[in-house]
Amino acid sequence: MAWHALKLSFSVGMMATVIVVLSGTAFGWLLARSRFRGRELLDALLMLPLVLPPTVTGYYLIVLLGRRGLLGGPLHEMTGWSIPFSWTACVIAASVVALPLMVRAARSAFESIDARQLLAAASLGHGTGSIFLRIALPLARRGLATGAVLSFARAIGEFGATLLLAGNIAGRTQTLPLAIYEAFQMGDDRAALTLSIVLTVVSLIAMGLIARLGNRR
Amino acid sequence: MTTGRPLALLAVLYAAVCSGTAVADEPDLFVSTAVSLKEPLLAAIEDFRGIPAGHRSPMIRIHMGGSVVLAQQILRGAPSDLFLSASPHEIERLADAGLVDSGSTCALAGNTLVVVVPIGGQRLDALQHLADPRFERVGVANPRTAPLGRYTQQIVAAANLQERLENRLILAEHARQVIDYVARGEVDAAIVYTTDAQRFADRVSVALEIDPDLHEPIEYRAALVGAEPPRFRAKALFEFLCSDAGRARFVESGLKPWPGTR
Repeated sequence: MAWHALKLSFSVGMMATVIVVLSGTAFGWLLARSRFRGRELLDALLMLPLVLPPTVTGYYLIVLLGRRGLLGGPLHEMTGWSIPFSWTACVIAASVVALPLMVRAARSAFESIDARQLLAAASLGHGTGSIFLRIALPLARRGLATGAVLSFARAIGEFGATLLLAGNIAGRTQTLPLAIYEAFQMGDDRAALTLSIVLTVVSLIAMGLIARLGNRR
Repeated sequence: MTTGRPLALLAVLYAAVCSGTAVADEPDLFVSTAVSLKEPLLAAIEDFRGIPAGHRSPMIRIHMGGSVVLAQQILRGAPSDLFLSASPHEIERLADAGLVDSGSTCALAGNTLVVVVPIGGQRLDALQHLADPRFERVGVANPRTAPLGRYTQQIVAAANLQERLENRLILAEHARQVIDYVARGEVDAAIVYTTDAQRFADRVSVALEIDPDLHEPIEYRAALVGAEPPRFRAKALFEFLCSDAGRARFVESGLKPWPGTR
């Protein structure tokens, strides 16, 4: 059971980090470099999971993605696929909650780039895509790596939104934090302590690895 | 002076908040209850409040959850004067730990189980049909947190359904969460208490009554908690709940009278 929870937490954390790094970098770039209608609103929406209690985020997610939810309902009708209580649900909950951290980090990394460098690149014939990939991304590398580390840490520790959207099913959707919660509730302090130490060690190792990647030239 | 003013304001607020709670001359009374007893317990407490107490009565605080979790919390020292469990086993655990005197427990009522489906959901005529692939997700209580989960486990074992249901079971923490999953349509069927099914009749429909011989008898018990001589008001509430008038409240709510109480 503990082994499954560890594997699940790790796979969910990794998948969520990939999703969050890709989408969070895109949103960060958009917010840092573009002016458009509804920009403030988009910013507020993306930041919302950071300020809301995770249980509230989880509640919104189940209202939205449940079998009878606003999006989940039609999805279930058409494909027979339902999101709650699945691995996908764990990933969605972890991603939504971790996304603000990545957006924040990416945005400030992109904003701190000297605009003249980008202008110079444009004057030398680089298109927008090329500027983003060859100039902005390398310059923002450290900020993005920090965002990724924070996102992974947040995703692997996700509890509230996961409990509501994915339930707490041992062997299926029970991630490490949920396994710790259940062990504690059952008075199984040894299991709770062991799992807590495992989660702490895994988090430390992962952060060390990602941080090192970010520093490499 | 600029910092003095907000501080003074805080002090006034603090005093106001505290004075509200400080007037009660007896500390709060804590009742931990199996979540499936919520409504009859509230009704019984209403009756109890109507009985003249002779002095200012304490606030009654109700804490609901799965009985296994509640018992564990009490073992860890959670404040609790009374414990109402959906199974005698949890009360025995507390008695073993010396937190409950076996003389101060009583049976409140019994219950039965049903299979429910969402309104307009699939029908079934026999427990074996739960194994049909059309029931993609079956809601059950977690045996590690709620007695309902243990009863369900016994039924699933008696009907020889373990292997066929294994990957489709959705575990909930307590009885009310199971029925909530059905009401939301997140599971296709679930095993719940008959009384909970009645209470959610507008959102779930009963598909099948479960033979009570498939599981141990469901007995709700109340117990006075605490090693020292029980507090006067806690004992009064306990005695009221165990009285004919108190137990009538539980039976009125749809629970079964329990034979041979006390």
